[in-house]
Amino acid sequence: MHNEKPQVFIDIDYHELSQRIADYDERGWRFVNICGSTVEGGVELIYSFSDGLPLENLRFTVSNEEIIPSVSDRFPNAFFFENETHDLFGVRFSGISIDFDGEFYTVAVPTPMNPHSADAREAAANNTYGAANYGECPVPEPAPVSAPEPEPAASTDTADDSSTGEEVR
Amino acid sequence: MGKRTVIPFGPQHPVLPEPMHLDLVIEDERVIEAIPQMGFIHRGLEKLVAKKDFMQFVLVAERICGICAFGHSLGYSETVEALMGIEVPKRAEYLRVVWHELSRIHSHLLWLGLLADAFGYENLFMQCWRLREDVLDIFEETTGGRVILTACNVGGVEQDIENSELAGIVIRLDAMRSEYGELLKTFLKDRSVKSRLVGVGYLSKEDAFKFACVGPFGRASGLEDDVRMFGFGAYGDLAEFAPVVSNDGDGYARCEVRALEVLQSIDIIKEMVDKIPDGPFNQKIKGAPEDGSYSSSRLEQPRGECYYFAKGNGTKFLERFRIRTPTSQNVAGMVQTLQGCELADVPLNVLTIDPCISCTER
Repeated sequence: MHNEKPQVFIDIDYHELSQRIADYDERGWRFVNICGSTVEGGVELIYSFSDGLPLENLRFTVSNEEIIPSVSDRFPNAFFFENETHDLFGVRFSGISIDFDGEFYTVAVPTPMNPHSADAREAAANNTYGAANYGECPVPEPAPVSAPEPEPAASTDTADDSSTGEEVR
Repeated sequence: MGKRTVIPFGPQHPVLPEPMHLDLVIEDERVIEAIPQMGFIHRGLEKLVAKKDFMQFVLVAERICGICAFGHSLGYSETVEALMGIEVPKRAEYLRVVWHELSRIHSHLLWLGLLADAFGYENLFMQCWRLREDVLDIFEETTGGRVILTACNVGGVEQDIENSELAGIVIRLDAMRSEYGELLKTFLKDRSVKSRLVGVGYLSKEDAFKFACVGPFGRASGLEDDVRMFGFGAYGDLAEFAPVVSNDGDGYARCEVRALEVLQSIDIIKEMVDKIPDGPFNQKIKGAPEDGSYSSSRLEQPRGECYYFAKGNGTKFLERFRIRTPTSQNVAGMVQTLQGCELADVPLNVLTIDPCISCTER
């Protein structure tokens, strides 16, 4: 098949992450990416590494309470993806080389976007959800639906101007 | 030792077409540290897979960036094809390479023009962009669009290019090559250009590897890393392919690598046109990605390796789609080149990684 590309997905427990990262570093592999996606019970993280043609993806799920050790000490460019994953998915990392502490992305909706994350729950409890970057971003309330005005009843008031028969412009 | 001062650079700056911010810690006009910040225009396009089905999403993927538009539609399509086990017709693979390499030519010409503009060579800037118009004309004639082509789709390409038209493209590229030779001479030989680029923003091969730099930025520091050399798709039918590499690691080397890659892309297109087989260029797609299916893929965009990831859930909507762009990979290396440079060289250093914030803030 023309589009078949070498790709491997390896399921690991997140406690193995540090050891796996050290292995890749010592073998001279290149860090490629961190991808988060919301799944039942937490966030699924995929760490990708490459050594030229081979591409390996480490796959594991973390609960919303877990704190993941940063890999930016071994792979400096990981700081970008760790900050991103923290901001958008609420995954907590410890020891990021450049830690923006939730202010990496300035987006127009409250972050993190995973409402089950510990950060989002804390922020909601403290009424600061979405306040990290630019102040509170309240969800706009829908415009009140005005009750239809009742049809004017046939006037019997002879004192009304309109009843004088003069044309009102 | 002078007093340290923090100078904000961007998000609005003449050398930056898109917003990016740097906090520059300087001492006596020399940068001691640079702290980058992005995220001003994050659009959440990846999240749209929840609303657009996997066939519609190719249109969203193409709109991630106006320069790498075709590349993103190609990277997305290849990832979904791998997810569903779809084999693409051979002619479609060749046509994809032709359009993708044309995109690389126009992207590099655009960048070379911006570089010339950044060091004040206005005439060179205009000549680069004038040549780029020829490539956009080819896009318009073959697809109807100059920026958004809507030419690639899951399963193949949207329209064919007649063999006679392909031969015409080669003739035009040959004509362009001779004109481009004059520009190339100026970029690589002119004393004033060299005085602004040689030795500026040096990044060693070791640092380029440590910071996982990709694309021309990494290749200018000696990394022989180019996804095209793995032979995915029609690239596998090239008689030979060797990435353009320089070992100098400075701004001049980055200019040289991109400038020579334009010629390399013309050669690739010529070879594709010589070898393109007749046959179908698209196929009907049935079904949807299976639940729990995963796929990852890489593509050499003009700015470097782009990583795509897709996850299926058994419906016509993907569970997750992810793009890691070359710029997000190169930011750490860019920060490294800024440390120790003169304040006046910061704009050139930032420009020489060819940052694309649209892609990064997809």
